Amino acid sequence: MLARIALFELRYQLRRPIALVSFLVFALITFGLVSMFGVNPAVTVPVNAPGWIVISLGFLSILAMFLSLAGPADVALRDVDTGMDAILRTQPIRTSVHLGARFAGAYAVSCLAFLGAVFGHALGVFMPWMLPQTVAPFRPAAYAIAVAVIALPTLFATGALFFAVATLTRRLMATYLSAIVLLILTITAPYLLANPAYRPLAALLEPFGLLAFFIDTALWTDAQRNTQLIPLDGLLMWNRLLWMGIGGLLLVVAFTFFNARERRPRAPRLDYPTGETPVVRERPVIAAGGAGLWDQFVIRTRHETRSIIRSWTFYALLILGLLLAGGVLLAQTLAGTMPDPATHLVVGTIAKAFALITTLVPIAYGGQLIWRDRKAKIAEILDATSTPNVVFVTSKIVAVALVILAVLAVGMESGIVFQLVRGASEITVGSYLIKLLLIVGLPALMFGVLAIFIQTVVNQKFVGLLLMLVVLGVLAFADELGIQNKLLVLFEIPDVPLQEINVRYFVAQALWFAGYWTCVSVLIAVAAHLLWIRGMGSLWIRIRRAHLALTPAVALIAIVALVGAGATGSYIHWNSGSDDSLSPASERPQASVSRLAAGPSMGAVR
Amino acid sequence: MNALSTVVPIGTPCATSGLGPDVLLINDLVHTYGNGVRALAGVSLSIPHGMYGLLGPNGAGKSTLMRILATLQQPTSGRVTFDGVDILAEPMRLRAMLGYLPQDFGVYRRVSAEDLLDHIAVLKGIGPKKVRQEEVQALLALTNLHDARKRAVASFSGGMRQRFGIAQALLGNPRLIIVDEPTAGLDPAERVRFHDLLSEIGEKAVVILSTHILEDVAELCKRMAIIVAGRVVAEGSPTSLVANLNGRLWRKSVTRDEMAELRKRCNVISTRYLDGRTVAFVLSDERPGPDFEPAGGDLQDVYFATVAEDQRAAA
Repeated sequence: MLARIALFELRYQLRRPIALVSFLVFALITFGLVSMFGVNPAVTVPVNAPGWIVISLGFLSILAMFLSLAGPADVALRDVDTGMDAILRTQPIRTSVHLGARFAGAYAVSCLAFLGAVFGHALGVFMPWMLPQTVAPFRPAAYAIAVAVIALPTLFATGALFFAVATLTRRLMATYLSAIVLLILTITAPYLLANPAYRPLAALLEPFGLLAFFIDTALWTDAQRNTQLIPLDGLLMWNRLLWMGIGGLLLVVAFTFFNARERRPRAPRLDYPTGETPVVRERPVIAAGGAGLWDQFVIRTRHETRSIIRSWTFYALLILGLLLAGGVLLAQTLAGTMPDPATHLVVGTIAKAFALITTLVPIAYGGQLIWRDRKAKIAEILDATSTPNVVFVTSKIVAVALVILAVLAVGMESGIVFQLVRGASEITVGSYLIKLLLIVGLPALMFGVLAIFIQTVVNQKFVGLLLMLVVLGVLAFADELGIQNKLLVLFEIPDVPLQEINVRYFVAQALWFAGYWTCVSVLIAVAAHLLWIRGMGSLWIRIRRAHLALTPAVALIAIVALVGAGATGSYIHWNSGSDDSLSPASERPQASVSRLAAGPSMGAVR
Repeated sequence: MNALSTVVPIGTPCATSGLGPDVLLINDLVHTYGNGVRALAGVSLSIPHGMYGLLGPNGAGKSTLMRILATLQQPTSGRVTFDGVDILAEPMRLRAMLGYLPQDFGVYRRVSAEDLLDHIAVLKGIGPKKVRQEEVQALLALTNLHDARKRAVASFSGGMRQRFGIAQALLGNPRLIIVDEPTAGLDPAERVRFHDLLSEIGEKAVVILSTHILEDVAELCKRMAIIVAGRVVAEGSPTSLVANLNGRLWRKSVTRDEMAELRKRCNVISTRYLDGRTVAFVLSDERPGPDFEPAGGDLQDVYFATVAEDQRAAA
């Protein structure tokens, strides 16, 4: 029975396009990474050395959280969404067996999809363009151990976590939030490394096992790194055992509370009888056209924002922001790295801490807002109204902006309270606004716009999410990929060093970039508007019919944005004097292997 | 095309119906899905003012046709005009005069009937506010939801929710109303009331009613079409279609063993169980045998006969 249910789930998950797409994307990423390092003469270590395989697949396993969202979490949410819930729950089978088997099936598929990364990596090594010093003899055991020690336990732990959260909350958004919490754990764990006493704790807390691996192998020689298979002992072993234990425990919790949640009495349905009210024969004849674009925009925006504000996931997000800001500020105070609560130090810390959360949250919300009407099955009614696409697109963008503003407001308020408590002599609100709104908030909103656009284009929830994560991954490795021109590093606005005397210069520079990326974002929003989904329609059909949504006003906005992007882009390019940007690429925050290995880092995604 | 078909060629004035000029013209509509399934295989219809019924088995292409008419789907080829407006080229113009009730619709949680109706009214461009509010209140009264107007639609029973769906479809006095299975979930009293309402509205608008409830079409629609496998296999007024059966429908009480033999020999369009016996209905221009007696014939028989003939032709 168990095996049959697991096989059914496995087959179901394999039939979804996301399984194959994920496999190919993961293969492409590792193939690209291996090739990138393989053609670089500066690289002198074999990319397929056991240690590097662990690092490559380890970082991929962070991205592979997505597989756990698309697979195991989907198991917990799907039945209610599809209406199969009542049928399945009335079958004579124990919940733990049913859910456990389905989890196993979904977990197996996420593991299979992850094998794309292994396949891409191994294939890349055999490519003719690889320089000899970057390739070591092919050792299947190195891949097998990396998968068994790093990837499989991680996929199990993340899968179990998301499955449990989805089971208990029945909200995809809550599941996204739990993924963000895991990422925050990953990023903040290295902060504990400053004090050697906390090292084991840091290594255990980090859910992906990479920190434990780095600590375990810190004293290895180059020769060891290039040849030795990783031993499963020390911190890495405890980390893996701990997280598999947590995963198992979460599954038990999910199985236990799955039914408890359902047993809550549901309010009886209202049923007013038809009554004897006569048919109203003299209804006023209304001609449509009385309510204008503005009314429609206001009511849609109000609706979108209200639905966000009414969801508890929004408040969970705010609390998460509060904990993050408070935690980071407290950690820096305890570590003695912030002796003075000056605004530029406090705001700098908060901006770094919030860079990740404010980038991921709009992506999650952007996708959610696109799919919510369809999930509620009201989309067909709304799509058949005469409301133009622009109302639907802009109201969603405004709602995403609201979420970002709320999160940043929490950060700002935390910083100001921190400064007041620490007795800061001067609190510069302007600095907060520059840093949080301009440097952090605006790019986050632009990522939200891009998420809406990508979801509109691909019209597949998880494929859209995966594509957004790939975009973020490419941007994180922009330098390594040779993308030196900052006009190509999507939505990046150069940082403003608030402590500098000539801060105005940096603000002006940031504003030019903000202007440039705003114009680009408007163009992306216009594209989303033109390809907007009304009812059913493949991308090709929507492209063919895009001209129907191209009103003179939309065309004017697109032209202004295009001219604006050209003008600001030219100005930036002209001022940089070369293809290089206005500021050195090395100043850009980046997430790289070496940073995490080196210790404390905020490892911003962008 | 079988003997029952009375498809009106496109552009033919509806002199027979006496309902005035055609308003909705569907010309050679073809739709093939990405997986190769041909949902519509050249549908042509001329739909005048009034109630128009669409019948057909599941998967016949009705919902695809309805979604195309509601501007929610693009056909592979073909042309649809409503009052001269090409709805495929100018969907927004049609949406301004469209009321649409999908077969399976949902609502936002925690939003009251009054607020949600107002929300949809704004999206339909109905205003200013005072007029819109009057319209919302009138429709709430019309669908007998006025007492529950402050309650969340998500908490409504199936029948009440369906009434809400009807109310939103009628917002703004649309000139084209498309309703998919509108009486599903309604109790008999609500159904009668809804029939009255649709009949009244049908005097001023084109109302396309897709349903499996044959009585609804028989009672409400002045014209109707039966769609099978993406093709219109019968079109006309219900009475004329039923009249076509006159003298061609026969019945006979048989045992289960005789049934198999009868199916080989005759065009059995349907069977019913009455008092423990099987009654077979056979379509034939001549009396199939001495022990057959003439059957009265109603829309249900028309439906079965049409579908059976089409399937027989396809086989």
